[in-house]
Amino acid sequence: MGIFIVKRIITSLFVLLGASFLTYGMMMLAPGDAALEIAVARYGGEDRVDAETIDWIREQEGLSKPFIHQYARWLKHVVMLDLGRSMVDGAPVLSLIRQRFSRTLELVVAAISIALVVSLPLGILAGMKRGTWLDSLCASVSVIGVSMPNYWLGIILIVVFCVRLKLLPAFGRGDITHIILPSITLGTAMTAYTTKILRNAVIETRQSDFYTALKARGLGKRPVLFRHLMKNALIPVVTVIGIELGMLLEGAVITETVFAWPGIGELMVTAISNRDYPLIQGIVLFSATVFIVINFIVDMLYYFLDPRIRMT
Amino acid sequence: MTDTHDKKKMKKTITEISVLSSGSTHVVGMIVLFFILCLICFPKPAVAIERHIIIAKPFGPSTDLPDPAVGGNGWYTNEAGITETLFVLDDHMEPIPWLAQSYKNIDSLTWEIRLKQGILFHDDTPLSAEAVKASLERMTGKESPVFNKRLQALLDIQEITVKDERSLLFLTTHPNASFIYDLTSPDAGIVRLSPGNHKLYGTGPFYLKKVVPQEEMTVSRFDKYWGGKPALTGADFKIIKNPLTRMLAFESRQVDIAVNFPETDAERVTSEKGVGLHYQPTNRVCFFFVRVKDGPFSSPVVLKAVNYAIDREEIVNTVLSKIGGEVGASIFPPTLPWCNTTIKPWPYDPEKARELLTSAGAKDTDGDGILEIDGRPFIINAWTYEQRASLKPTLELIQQQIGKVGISMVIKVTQKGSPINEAMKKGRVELNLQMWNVAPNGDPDFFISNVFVKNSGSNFMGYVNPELDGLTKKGKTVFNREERKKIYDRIQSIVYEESPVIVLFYKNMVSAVHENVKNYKIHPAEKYIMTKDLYLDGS
Repeated sequence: MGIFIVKRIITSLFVLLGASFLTYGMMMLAPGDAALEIAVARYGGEDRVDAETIDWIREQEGLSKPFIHQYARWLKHVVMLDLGRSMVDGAPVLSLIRQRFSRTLELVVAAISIALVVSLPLGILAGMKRGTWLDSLCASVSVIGVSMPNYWLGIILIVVFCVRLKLLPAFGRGDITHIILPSITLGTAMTAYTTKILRNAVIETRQSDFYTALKARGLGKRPVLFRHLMKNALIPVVTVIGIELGMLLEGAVITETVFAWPGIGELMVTAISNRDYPLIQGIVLFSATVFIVINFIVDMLYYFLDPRIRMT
Repeated sequence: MTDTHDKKKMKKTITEISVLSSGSTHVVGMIVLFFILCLICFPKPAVAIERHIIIAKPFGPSTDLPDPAVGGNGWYTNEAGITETLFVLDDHMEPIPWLAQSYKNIDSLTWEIRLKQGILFHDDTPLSAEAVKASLERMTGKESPVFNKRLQALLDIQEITVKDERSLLFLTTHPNASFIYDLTSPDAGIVRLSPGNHKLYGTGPFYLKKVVPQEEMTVSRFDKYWGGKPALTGADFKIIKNPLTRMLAFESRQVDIAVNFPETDAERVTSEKGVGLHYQPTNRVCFFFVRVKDGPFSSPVVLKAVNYAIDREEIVNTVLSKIGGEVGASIFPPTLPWCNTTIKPWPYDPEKARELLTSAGAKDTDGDGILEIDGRPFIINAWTYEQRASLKPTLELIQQQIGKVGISMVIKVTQKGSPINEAMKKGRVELNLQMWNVAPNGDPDFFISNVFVKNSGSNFMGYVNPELDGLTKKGKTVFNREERKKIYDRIQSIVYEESPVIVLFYKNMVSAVHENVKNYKIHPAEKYIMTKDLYLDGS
């Protein structure tokens, strides 16, 4: 186990290095003048900056230096656990990421909670009642859930619950009511997808030999369902949730935009648009770390959920 | 017998009551009518609501402390009424003393500014010449950790000297005729910072209470404001970048004012009771940068033809729903006192455009509807960016319009404007559609110097005109207003005739405002929102 963890850490360091190098390189290849983009973002418009200011930014931020020089300088600071400051507003990158990540995490946790509360009973029921109207209903709802784009769903929810019924807030963070619509928007597709995965896993488990053996031994419905069937059917669900958690943390940008919920996705988009290199690199490094940690946790969960993995 | 008597008595009583009630009904009716007439004839006294106003904006501070020296913070604190500048621009875009009481132009390099008396910072410290010097040196001193290069490039300050408690002398490195205008720039807002730079104190009608970066900024009333007690208790600025969400937040009545409202939805939203739409011309102009260095637009005749082929009226009526702007003529809009009003918009005349193109040697030889010039199809690359909603539909409409005279336009929409400028410099783009504030501080020099002068930073067009270069140089050093006006009038005429930029329309700023918001004004320079007179009517 110890060797496994050490190996994973070493591999992860190479993954982080590769991801940061590739991102830096791609940003350098992007069209446009980085100094101009930073000046525009810093002072609020191209109509407010002159050539002298742009050149000054180029020199100050070391943008006239070769790519390798810039990357090495950034890496040197990272090794000393300093992610630097935003080129646009001078804010420390780490504090910006921490602040925005906590907001996205709130949203993602709420969305996953909704997804689990809805998809667990639905998926199990659909799997248990295969071929019935309930199964067909779940399948239809799943298809609709996956097909609805977040942007469209978010706007529809705002129009219905905020503009027409005036029941919920349309934007921003605040009390618990603020998170209802964004988390439903973000969680709908995940609910549909998880329901489908769980249904298939339940059907597959019910077709396995051990399930028939358990039933032949005369075990009651409940122990079979909760102690054996659920434990096996949940393994693919854990994988899906693990992958989706990572994707949601980065991909919540559309929901965040619609509900003016400033999270890490929106920060990333703004940073790329502004060519704010230290911020882009910081977010990439952070995101890669999150993915690595999530994958590691998923592997650990497998270890506990599936004894076959422990055996190998 | 008794029964009959009782019945008669009852009947009599009922009749009496009916008569009485009929009489009193008339009296009550008269009184009600009187009150209704009073309500109609006499205006209701305004009753201010004691709550914060909620304003939805697309941009806001991204740090906990919106220091005006850094980035665009000055604009946010200025709009919010936290910081103020020595001079402000009035509704006619003329600079007027604000924290300053008066000024004197001693010589071409020296300016003396005297401050008003009785002004307090939000920490109750009086505004003094020393405080102003400290605030401006903090931003313009090269050694300062918050050195603002943009501001220093504008002001060009060499030295600030305190003459007495309320007077300062400013020495500039070069003659700078726009110095007073440049002092209206929001990043020149006068501030005091607490030890450790944890708190920011301005002199405005509202003090900074809280900032949640990229979410909201809250300001509260400063009771000791030098201009009198503000009517509002404060304001919550909500940052909503997505225009659709901003509109829906307004429609659900969760915000009182939505700034930068999509004009296409104006009619639908204003049909609701209690909703008003404010639109005001600004200094923002929509225009094409034209690659005149080489290619088809190096010919003045072809440029003229394109000007005639564009129906500006149609753009304003369709893309801007008639309220989002006005047809443009000169590079400076009529909101600016520097506008050359003798310049009139190019008329829409496709016939004339065709004639001019023919005279320039363009001809449709293969009958495909596209002209050929020098044996090659007349196809041009026109790019714009998506950050300003009206640009893309404007470009699409122009594609149709100039297509009618035989010019084919390949359009591309990028996320931001600056890559287009780079592409234009390299000759890959002939028309570059942009929307700029042509006089952020009210002075004409900044735009002219940056865009039209040979090899200047934003001269993407490769435009060269020695007369214009000479006039621009002169315009910086001439301090007499009338003489300066003549110089910029001539520059505008040159730009109109030679068209290195093709002006399309002047953009209006549109805000949706609920009816109970009073004294809300949109300033042409888009710099000020919160004033001491803004209030919420509760009557």
